[in-house]
Amino acid sequence: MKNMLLFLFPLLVAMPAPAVTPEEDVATTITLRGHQCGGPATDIHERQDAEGNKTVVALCPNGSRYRIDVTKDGRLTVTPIR
Amino acid sequence: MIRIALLFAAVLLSSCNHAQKASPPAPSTAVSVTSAPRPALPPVQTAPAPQAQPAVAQTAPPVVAPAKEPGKGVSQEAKPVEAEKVQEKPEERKPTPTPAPAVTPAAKESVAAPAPKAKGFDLDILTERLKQTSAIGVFTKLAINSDATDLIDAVKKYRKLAVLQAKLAEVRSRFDGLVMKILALLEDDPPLARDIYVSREQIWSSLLEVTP
Repeated sequence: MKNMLLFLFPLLVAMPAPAVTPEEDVATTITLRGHQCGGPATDIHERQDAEGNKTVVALCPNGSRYRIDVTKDGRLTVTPIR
Repeated sequence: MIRIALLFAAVLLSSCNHAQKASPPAPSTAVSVTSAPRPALPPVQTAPAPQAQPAVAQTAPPVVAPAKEPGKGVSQEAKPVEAEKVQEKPEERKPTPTPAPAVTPAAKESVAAPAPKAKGFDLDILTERLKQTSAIGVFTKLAINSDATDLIDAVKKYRKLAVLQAKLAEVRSRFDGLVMKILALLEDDPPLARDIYVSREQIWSSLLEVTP
């Protein structure tokens, strides 16, 4: 037991600070493009086609659903889904 | 029992160290009061104000100095995928100062005005730190990357057409807006936010030096 605690102690000390969650990341991206989200997004679905373009669909707490398109060359657009 | 108590004390001490790390670290180098702006408060300059440049030139060297250690104070756990994607950030290609092609005299003045660069300014390091920071997510970095690309396109267009000075002021306000966005997003990485804020004039001048 004591050995286990001694083993776990450095791990606890070395634990990094929590980074941004994907939900917050998506919500921030939506907000940056001028759309309202109202908090961390949920129901995030991510797809990538054969050409390397990525599409993310997410639901915001205010009920809006958005599609984030990231082209293979890094261009990002946010489109509200009606 | 005593050992367990000692262990708890050690854990408490380590958590205190974490709290100290989380708070905005004061750089070891001396920073004057004017050179320590809070990211959320800086005033937006809509045009390159000649008065502001000497202040930046004075303040930049001591503050940007810690930027030479990209790993320090910045989480290294950023995913390689995001690093690759954000690597396409066009700001990286800018730092090579090349002589400006045919530009109107007014534009030449505006380019020449912010030219004096701070010694410690390094756009590559700032870009790398922005890529590596865990304060903002992958998609947010991509969004900023897109904004930066648009801004560079606007500058290139301005350079090509050699349009009026008023147009440059517009582009400058867009640049200020983008800087403010990045600073607002970097609230979890205050040292990087501060370095970007202090180097904003140098970033702007290097943006104007981009070869069209």
